[in-house]
Amino acid sequence: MKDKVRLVEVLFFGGLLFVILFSILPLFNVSLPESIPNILYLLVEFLAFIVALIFFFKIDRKQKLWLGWFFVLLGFFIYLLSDFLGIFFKLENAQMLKLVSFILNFVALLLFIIFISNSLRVRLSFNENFLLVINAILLFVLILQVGILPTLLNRSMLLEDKIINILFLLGDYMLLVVFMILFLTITTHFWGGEIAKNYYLLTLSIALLSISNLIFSYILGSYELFKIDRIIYLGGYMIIAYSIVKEGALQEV
Amino acid sequence: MKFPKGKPIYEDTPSALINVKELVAWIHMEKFNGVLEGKVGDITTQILITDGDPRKAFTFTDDTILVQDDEAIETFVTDAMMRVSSISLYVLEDEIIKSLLIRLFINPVLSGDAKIFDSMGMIEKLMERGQIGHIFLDFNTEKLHFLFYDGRYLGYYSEKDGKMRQDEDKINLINYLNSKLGFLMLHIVSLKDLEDLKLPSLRFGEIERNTEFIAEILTSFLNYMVKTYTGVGIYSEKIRKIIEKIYNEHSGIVKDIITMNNGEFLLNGNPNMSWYELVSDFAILIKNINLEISKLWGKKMSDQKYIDVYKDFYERIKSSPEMSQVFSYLNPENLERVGG
Repeated sequence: MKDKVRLVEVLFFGGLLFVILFSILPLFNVSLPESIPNILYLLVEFLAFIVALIFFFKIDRKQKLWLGWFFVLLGFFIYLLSDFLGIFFKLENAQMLKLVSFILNFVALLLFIIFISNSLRVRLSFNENFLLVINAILLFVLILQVGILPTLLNRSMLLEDKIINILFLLGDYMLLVVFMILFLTITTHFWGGEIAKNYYLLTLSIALLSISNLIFSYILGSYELFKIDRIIYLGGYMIIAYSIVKEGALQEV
Repeated sequence: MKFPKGKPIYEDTPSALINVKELVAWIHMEKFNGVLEGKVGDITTQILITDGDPRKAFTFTDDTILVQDDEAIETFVTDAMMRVSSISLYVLEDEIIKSLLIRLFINPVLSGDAKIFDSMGMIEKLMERGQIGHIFLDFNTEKLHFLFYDGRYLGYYSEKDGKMRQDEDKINLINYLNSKLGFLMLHIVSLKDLEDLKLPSLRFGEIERNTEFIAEILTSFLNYMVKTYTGVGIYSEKIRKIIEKIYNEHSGIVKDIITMNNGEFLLNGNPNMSWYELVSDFAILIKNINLEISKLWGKKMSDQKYIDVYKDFYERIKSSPEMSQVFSYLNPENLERVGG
């Protein structure tokens, strides 16, 4: 099983490297039809999804956490679908699917928190809760400052766009909050265990997606430079796929 | 004294002050080498212990042996339990122990009146390297033991007082041998042959009986542990597999008496061992399971779960003093020290 995981690591790393390479080629005045990096990007994403799917079937379906991993995988699938529709059919609304993908990730994290706390009958201590509340408030202030207020005060924006933007922001915010709760729960209870490593990968990559979403949309206005946002999202989803692979591999003794 | 007195850990301590069960368990656990002695009036019992197991025991008065081995140990244990004896414990060096063992478990090379043997030839032979030697001289009034190890003369002791005497220049050895008096027995064996020698293990009688009941309780403890670990609800299947794997890899005596079926342990053999061996092997199995589970759950979580299991189970058995003693070896702190 270790060999298989190693193979997946090499495959994922190689795939991501290729995508990066093809994206920066235009910087060196190498002209390529736009479809080639796009197809490569989709191919690598599809490959990561298939690998994650194969390993997902190894996860013990009798245990409740399986449902959480199912939502994670579904989120990945929706993201893949939105990329596919966006690149091949140039659908503008494909972006909306990304919101669905974020929501699914949010649901998955929430499920993990509920199942883990219920199964272990563990609760966070007062100090940990306090830490969480403080962080959540600070994060909210930050998002208010860089995202929500500028969006609301922007006179040139349509009401519809404003609503969508704010929904995205609130989604990101909630995702980051549940990330903090799960991360803290895992850290305080499973420190040093195999399980913890998987959830670290998963939660950190989901947080990475969320944070980069905020950064690219509201802090860096223009980021078209060799499509760095797409690469970072792809990287994030590949880490998610890798955490599914590790979870599947974990089931074998 | 059948055996020499080594370095005393305690001497002539009233048995009322000593928890003999703890002492026996400690002897096993520490793989003690030495002599355990119990005295009631002029009757003395000496038990020679190597690697934590009793190998030979005598109960004797001045120069008459009353009983030996199991019966002698029984005498020791009964007297100690009835709190009428005084107990001493002496540590002996490995070299002296080995030289004593060959007298007990290997046939003599020479045996007969001392006058018929060439004493210098004997000494020369004993001073050769790579072998262990023991000369026993019986003068009726006194019985002397001269000990040799790997080409070195370790000294001698008299059965009268058991005191080990250094005799570096071999003056006493040569004098006694040259007197040509008494009955002599010479034991020589190579170091390698001694290693191959399988020593009998005696048991500490009453203290070590009752193992079947203990095995039953320990098996149900193991089952309770499995149930709690898998009952956490996350990664149950994986945990069951881990426990099965550790059980299959386990090579101790526990495997002879319990089987694993569908994640449940069943007692199906008669434990034919001392309770201490049983408990310590169970402890090793439990420790290994916990170790493997801590790789999955992390140390904090697995420690916490084991503490929960232990506490809950201890509540059920704490009314039995015997069981609470057994379980003291499985408590989370002691478990850390099991098996090094």
